[in-house]
Amino acid sequence: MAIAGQAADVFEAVDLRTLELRRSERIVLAVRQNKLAAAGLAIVVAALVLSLVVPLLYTVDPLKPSPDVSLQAPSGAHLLGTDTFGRDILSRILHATRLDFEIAFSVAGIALAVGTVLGAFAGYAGGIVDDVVMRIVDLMLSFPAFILALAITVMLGNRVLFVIAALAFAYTPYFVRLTRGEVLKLRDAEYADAARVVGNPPWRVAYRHVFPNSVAPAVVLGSIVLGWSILDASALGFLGIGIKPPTPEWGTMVADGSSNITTGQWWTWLFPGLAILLVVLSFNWIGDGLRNLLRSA
Amino acid sequence: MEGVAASLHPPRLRDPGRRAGMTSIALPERLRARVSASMTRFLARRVALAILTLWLVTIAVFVITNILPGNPALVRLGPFASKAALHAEEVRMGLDKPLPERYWRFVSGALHGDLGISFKTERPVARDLGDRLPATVELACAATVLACLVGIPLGFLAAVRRNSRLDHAVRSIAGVSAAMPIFWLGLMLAFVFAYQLKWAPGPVGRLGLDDTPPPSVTGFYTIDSLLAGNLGLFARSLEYLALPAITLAIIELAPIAKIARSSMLEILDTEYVRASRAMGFSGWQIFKQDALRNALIPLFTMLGIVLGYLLAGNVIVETVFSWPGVGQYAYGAVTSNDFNAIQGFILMVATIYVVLNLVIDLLYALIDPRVRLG
Amino acid sequence: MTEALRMTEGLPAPQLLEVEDLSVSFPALRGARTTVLDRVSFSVGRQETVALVGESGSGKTVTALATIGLNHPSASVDGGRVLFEGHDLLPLGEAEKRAYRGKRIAMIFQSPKASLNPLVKAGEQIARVVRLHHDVSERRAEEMAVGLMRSVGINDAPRRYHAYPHQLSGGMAQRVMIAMALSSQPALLIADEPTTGLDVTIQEQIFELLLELKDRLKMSILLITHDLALVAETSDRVVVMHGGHVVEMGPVEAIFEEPKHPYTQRLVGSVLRADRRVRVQAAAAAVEGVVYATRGCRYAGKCEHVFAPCADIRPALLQVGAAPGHVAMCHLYDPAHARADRTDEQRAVSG
Repeated sequence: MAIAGQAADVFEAVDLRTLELRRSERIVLAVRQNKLAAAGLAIVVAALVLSLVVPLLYTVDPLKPSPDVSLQAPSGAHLLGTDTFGRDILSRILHATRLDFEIAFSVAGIALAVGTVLGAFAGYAGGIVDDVVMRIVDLMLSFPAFILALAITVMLGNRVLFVIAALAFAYTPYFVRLTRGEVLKLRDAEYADAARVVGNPPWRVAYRHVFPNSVAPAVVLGSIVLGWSILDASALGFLGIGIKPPTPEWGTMVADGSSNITTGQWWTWLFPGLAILLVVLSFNWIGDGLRNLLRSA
Repeated sequence: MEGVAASLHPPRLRDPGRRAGMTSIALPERLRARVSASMTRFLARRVALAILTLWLVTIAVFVITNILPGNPALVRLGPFASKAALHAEEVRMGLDKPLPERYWRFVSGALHGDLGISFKTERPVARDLGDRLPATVELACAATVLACLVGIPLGFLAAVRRNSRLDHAVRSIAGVSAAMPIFWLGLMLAFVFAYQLKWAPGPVGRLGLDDTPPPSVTGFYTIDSLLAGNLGLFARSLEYLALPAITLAIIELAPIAKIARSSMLEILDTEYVRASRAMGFSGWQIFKQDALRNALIPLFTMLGIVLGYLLAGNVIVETVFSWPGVGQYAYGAVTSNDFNAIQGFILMVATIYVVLNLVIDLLYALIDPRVRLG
Repeated sequence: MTEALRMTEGLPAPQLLEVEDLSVSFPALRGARTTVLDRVSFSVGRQETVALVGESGSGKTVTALATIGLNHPSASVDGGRVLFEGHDLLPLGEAEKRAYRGKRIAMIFQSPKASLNPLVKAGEQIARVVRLHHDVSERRAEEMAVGLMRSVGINDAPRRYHAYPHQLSGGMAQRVMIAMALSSQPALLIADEPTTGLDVTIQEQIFELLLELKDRLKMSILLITHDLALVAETSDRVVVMHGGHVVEMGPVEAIFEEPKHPYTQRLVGSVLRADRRVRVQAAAAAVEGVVYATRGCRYAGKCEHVFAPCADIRPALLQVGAAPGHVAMCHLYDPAHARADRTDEQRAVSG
């Protein structure tokens, strides 16, 4: 690259590795340079904590209808207002946090675990195994993830478990492809060769040298998938698939409030959607921050 | 400059027969071939791959709708159906036949355009989809055009003014729109613009309840009403198209702007841009002659992915805005457990995806001389 | 008096290009800046080939780019002048700089295939440059482009006109670049590693082409390279750079036969020891990421003759040896620094 060529003259001089910073200092510096990621992390942690702690203190039952306070605008008693059934929206949002986070982390976790192992296996094994795996991956990627998850959930049944399974299934190919690519790059890298030459058996080379280095980009992808799975799960919830009322879930809450766009009670659908936006944004920020971190470490 | 050529060789004789503007350098036969041999092999392989993928798609769709646990007849009739009724339903749905036979019926039917009968509408699924497809395509095209018109220039500008306030603004907007739930955005736009400000009509479909659609030529109400000379109808169809298209466009904006920006950034860092600068070309000239074409190519190939977003987004947007396209049909099918319709819909979506990606790959190969000429 | 003026004492004035005390810095960590060029001065005369030699990181490319204002926007020129035909180019605005770029000062780069737009035919790219510099019709520009291609030694030019860059060999692509660079008959051609990466035989061809064109067009060449063997065959004068400084400068024979600066001695020594036919890369001792912050001589860390003043005092550029204009920046040759400090060996080295 042109600039790189000329800047290589210069940037050699400021290579982070030669500056005498300890690894920890470099990481702190990187974190400081990534304020968004820090903010994202803060938001996610706060949401988690709130969702766990607040129900213990704030005991209004998110499922119990109270028709007499139905559709009240945000006020002191109900910070985010009440919905059609008189349920407190803030408390429902917080309860929904647990469910949506559960879905997100399960989906991302399964897809990452299965996908990276499969991808590493395919990349390392090569040959016909690799071909078959990639064929299947390409096939799965011919379906937009949401549509695939939609179809599978419908076929399996309307339960949260199936939503998780369907989404995890839909996202696994991304991890397979990513990890396989990384493994292919690293498999023939010098240090792997060196390890082999010294006498390590292939599996140990894979496990100790190749695999750890290919996991890093997968983690970055994982944080993006966290966001995607919340978007998809809430979309399914909005459509009434997989997660049904009265279970508090951000998507179903928006669906409940959707008819109110004609009558003006905007708080019934705005706040749950805002929660989705905020959380997904936070995961994306974290992902960006992780990417920057990995680049500089 | 004449001196250089003149001092070493006599000037080339002009060819009086050439048209002005056409290159006066004779193009020998061999180079006239637009496509090289290796390119034809590539094309053939790519098409074969697409066909293979489509076949695998049919298997996948069949598996999803027929092999996953759950008895479609049971789902259809509900848990309180009697055994006899259940069995009768199973026969009616063809569930008693062996799997390979059912698969064969499914595939051969699909190849002939027969996707079964919808349980809900009692019409052929293929016909239902065919009737509704133009609406979806109109929406998808409008949204994509809008997203490109806004997203690509913004992305390019952000790259040219790297790290400026504009760049940060574009990146922030893209970031937020990528995190937004489509259904929520749609609701919000409808709320603000249709119900509060009353600038746009409410989400009731492609036209108002009293309007009659124009005579169908393309299936696009906008184009068809123009063709019929009905400007009022044209305006109104635009009004109804506006909000759903904008909703989709805002969501699409994120990947388009990001890719435009990153591909332009890459181009700006290349050796040939630097060399052009060294020759004395101005920034604008370089943009027009070097940057633009090179940056659009990766963008073009990313259309396939953007398309994926679109096909997914359509179901939701059409549901929110009551847009009578295939997405709304899918929603109806899903909520009424209409298996044939669901099956037909997924098959159609995947097929469109595969075929469109194939077309994009082929076009890309034709555009880039490095691939075309080998 | 500036060092620049002092060094041009041995050369006829005015020079085509005079770089005076040029300093350039780039941003580094935490808002600091790292100095990439530190008061670099040298000149290029009319119809002269000057080689700018040094290892990667020495600043030679940055110097070249600075003359036509093509450094990365984050680079800042901290001082000095670049006089071209008597006019200082540095303070000029972008549009004014463009009046020189490509027209009076042309530049060609390493990796010629990468320097061409992959989507446009080679001949068309030459024609474009022709139209930029001359007010001619499209057809005329095409004809001129073919003529240029012939004059840089591309056989079968009309056919090659329609070739895309990826279809050209490295040598052919470099000829195309040269054709583009020469389309306006510039007074100065800056060639940044023009032959690196090409076959040895092609390298010689390209260089002979450049020399031939230089004679015909009465052009000067500033050749940036780390290949000393090529320098020996083609250049009139040599400027040796290290760590952002000019450490030695002089006529090519003087540099090769009597290198004075310890760094130059090492470079030249490595060429002479090897088989002359083999292309020798200078500075195998690759400079790793050292942040240059020393006050004294930047070569002190690696110099075998280092002594007392080297760590703290920046050496002056002084006349060394017999040849006119042969200067070096080294305390060994500075009578101001206590002779008693030097060892016999050092005295022997400095003669």
